[in-house]
Amino acid sequence: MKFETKSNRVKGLSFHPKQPWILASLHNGVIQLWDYRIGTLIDKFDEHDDPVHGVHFHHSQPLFVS
Amino acid sequence: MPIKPLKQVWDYQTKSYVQTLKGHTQYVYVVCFDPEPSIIITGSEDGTMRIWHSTTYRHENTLNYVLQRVWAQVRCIDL
Repeated sequence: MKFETKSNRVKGLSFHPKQPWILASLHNGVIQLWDYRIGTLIDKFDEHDDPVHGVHFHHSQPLFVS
Repeated sequence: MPIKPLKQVWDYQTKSYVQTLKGHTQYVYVVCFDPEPSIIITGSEDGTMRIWHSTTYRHENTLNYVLQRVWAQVRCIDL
């Protein structure tokens, strides 16, 4: 399965502890939330101006740190 | 050039920014939520790793072993 997007420079990944989701942080500053079973982009967080090298889900709350 | 504070903690349900972790003076490369204890660990090009409380987001500690850049960190999970 391939997760297509404009920028192919992924810097960080994080699997959700319960849902079939992956967070991907990109060189262009975007953070993407994917459903890896369906292969669809659920959401996009576009607030960073610089590359986002790391991202991690909280284990129980709907939070992530970037 | 100073690095401007980043909107680092996010709520993905409300899609809102929760908190900025202020302290690092260079780019942050590694981030980690740790459940036990309840902390956030960050590593940066400024050569330090910092520990934050993950509910109050208070800066708890700075680890400075005169590293160059902190590119990666390894977590040990006690199952």
